[in-house]
Amino acid sequence: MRLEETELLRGVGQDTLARLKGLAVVRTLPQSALLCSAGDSDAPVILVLAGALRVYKADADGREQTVATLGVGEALNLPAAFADDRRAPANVEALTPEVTVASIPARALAELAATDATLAATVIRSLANSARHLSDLVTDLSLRSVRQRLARFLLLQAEQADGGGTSRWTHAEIATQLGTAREVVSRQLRALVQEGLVLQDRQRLVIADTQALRRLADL
Amino acid sequence: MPEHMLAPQIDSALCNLCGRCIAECPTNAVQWVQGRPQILHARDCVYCGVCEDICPVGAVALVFEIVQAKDAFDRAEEP
Repeated sequence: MRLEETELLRGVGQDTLARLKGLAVVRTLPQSALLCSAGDSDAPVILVLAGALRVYKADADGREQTVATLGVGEALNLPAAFADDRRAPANVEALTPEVTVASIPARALAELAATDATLAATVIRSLANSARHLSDLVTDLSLRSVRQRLARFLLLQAEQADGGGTSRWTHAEIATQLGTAREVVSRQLRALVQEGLVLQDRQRLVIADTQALRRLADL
Repeated sequence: MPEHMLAPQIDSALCNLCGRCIAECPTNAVQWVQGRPQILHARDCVYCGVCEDICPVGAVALVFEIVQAKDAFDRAEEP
């Protein structure tokens, strides 16, 4: 994807685009490469041009919570340009085997957004979408049990797999999505299998009772 | 049963060679190979997850595919 096709820069003025292209540093990262760490100062705004990134928080014990997965065209680290606290809010790593990103100095983006109304609008839209996503995540983590979150996760992944792809996950990876420990995921999955909501056919987890799982997930 | 059988992944960088996965595997699918635990034949593994649960350093991981019942049936029907 080209810079001007990303969600942040689509439709911005030619002068603004030319300035940003001159400032952007494009690079390709291998899978699992750390792009930035929570608390980094002077973190740039990142635009994903190919592949996907995982945004996550980690505690001192190494337990992780995936905050978001960002795909082609999406932007991250906008708080580095506009928030009072400009440090990077989370860790970011390459999720797919090859990830190409464009880094734009946060301060320069903020200055250009002050003069380009289209850029300002796309920034606001991106931040609003992030706020909504984080609000949903807070609701999920604070008001739903791990069992309910797991049910939602399984249904969502099965729907995505229904679209033609293959959704492959380890228990540890699921745990980072749900904000819990691997052991808890393993235990809760065993319970769903025993109850007949999910069928385990070797490495395949088959949604056996969609309606019951939807009720459990409060959908 | 899926036609393509995945096997538990053992991260050699994390493995501390304690051998508990080998001792606890109910089907003896995990064996010492050149001083390291390894799944010799995926067909022997029943994907029970004991090796993952027992590993004290989180070196073992089982990958799961999440599918709708309809997809599981369709894929089983594929030639």
